[in-house]
Amino acid sequence: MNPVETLEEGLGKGLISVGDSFGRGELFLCDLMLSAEAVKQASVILEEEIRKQGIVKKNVATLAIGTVAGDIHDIGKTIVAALLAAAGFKVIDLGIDVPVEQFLTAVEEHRTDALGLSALLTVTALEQTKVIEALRIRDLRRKVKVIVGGGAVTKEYADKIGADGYGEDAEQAVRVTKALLKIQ
Amino acid sequence: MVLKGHECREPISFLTEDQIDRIHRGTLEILEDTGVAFDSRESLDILKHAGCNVDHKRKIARFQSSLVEESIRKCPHSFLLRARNPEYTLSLGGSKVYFASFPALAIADPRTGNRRPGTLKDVEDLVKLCDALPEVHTLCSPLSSVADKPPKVCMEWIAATAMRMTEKTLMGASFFGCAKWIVEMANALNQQMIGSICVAPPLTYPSEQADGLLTYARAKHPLAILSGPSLGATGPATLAGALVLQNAEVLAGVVLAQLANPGVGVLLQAYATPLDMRYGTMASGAVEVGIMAVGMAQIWRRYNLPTGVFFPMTDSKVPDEQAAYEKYLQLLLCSLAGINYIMPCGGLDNEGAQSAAQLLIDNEVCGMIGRILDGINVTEETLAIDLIKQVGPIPGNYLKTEHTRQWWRKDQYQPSLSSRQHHVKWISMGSQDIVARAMEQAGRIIETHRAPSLSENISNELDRILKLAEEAKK
Repeated sequence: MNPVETLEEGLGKGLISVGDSFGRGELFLCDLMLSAEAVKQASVILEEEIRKQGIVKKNVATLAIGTVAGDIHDIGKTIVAALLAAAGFKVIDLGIDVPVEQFLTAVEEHRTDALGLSALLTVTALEQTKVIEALRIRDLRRKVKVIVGGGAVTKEYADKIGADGYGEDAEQAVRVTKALLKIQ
Repeated sequence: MVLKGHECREPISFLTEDQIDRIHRGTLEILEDTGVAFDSRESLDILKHAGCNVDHKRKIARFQSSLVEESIRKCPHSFLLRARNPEYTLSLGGSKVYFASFPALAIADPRTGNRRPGTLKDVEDLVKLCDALPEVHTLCSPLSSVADKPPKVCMEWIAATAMRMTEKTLMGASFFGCAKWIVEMANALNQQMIGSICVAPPLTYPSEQADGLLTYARAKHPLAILSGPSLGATGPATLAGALVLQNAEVLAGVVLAQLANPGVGVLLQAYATPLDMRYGTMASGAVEVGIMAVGMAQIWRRYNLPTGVFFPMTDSKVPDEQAAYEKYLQLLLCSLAGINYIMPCGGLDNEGAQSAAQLLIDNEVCGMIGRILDGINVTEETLAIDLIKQVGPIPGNYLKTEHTRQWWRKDQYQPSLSSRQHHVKWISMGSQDIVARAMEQAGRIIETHRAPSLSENISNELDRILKLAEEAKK
């Protein structure tokens, strides 16, 4: 069994098909979460095998995502992460209450194409600004597309703080991310 | 003297006594085996000192059942929420039913649903409306965010503005460390706040909420401890499971409150809503929200503790039929369940939007709900047997009797927005729908209603505290 083929043609396509069914209203969030989790766990095993066999696989768009420091709202961010995975992204979920530094490290380490910042509270939305500013200082800003979202964030706010994209809901977040990275 | 509000003498029930027992035992099991996380060193120390099994590394406290039951016994069965004008003091608990305004994030145009951020001027206008509307017995600021103050001190500014515009009692938030400053302002006005503490499900007290709980309790302000698991996301997808989780979360706060200040008044407040599996939104207008409220009220009544809900709510974006049926099914269930503190006045789209029109329509329906709770008044006089004999068959009629003049207004609720005129008359008056009529009435009230006066000394004191809060949070 070729691990790359299993990953891309099996799991990857399967997950995309689940994402499509979700979009059509035939499958629901809990189904999507289960599929994303199954793929995530299987990927760990397959990636290990790919490394062992020394196979070079084609690049997929990578995105790190997390809820900013001071904010412990998990669900919205987790739904966006699952939908992105279902759209074919490699997603690194940094969790909740993520300090600025951890976002920067993830961007550097995984060479992510995009970074998703979630904030539900008005005060924690300010943290999104801090992350964007820190990326600029570390000279990483031009290397990643920053997408912001969450209850406290509006399109106007996203523009004001210099984010590249804004997702009003999970599906829009995926659409915007794909458009920014010019993915069909 | 306390505000009359309404009364529910015979609450409805959905759970059997055995089912209540099972949910109670399940709750104790969760508190003892799993425990609750408190992101607050001080809270964990207090709980440990009281005999809780505390894991400082994971910030989890596990509660013996005896401590939980003892804490429930320490809570007053009912308590006063003191207003600076005693006419508006609430007596929370027992059979009382009070209606509160509901907080939302932005202002919605009631026609288009378009939103704009709120300002302190909006808080003023909305609080003025709440002050004038008879069915808004108590307030949670109708706006929870304003764009013209820095986010960090938003809560303090909103609280101060509300305090200036009404003598009715207010709910105080705990976000961003505002509890301390809100307590100071309330003390300056010699009024009590009901301190709102929001658990983060599952089973977590964020630091600002745990700190808020300690702050309000120690300053002798009663608490409303609120848990809002989202069914299928931050709580079990089943109603019974969500009740167990919600109860465990709230009771953990009850224990901490009774340790911080034994005998402090605590209102147990429910806010469980399903996750919509299609859109990932919280289905705040779901009918299950109201059904769970009935069950939760039964359990909390068993504890003999005051009850509250952080709804009725709707997922509709404008005041329309959906807003009406979602809010009022929940409102009717909560009221018939005898919940002491219900929040039906204003609010759309799961806290997303506020509309004065919606607030006025809600006020009107609250009056009807109050009338439902009053039921049918049967006395010799209301039976009117002698009168019926006297009037006899046609051409007798009741329009000209003294009995009618005396009773029609007392025994029937008089709506002020609903259309009851002949349809030709309605057309001649511009065929206005309920939203148009509500908008018009809101405009009139804002123009003519006078806010209560505040002495210059106290007003200056509020300014001084606001300035201190701003300095401290720089």
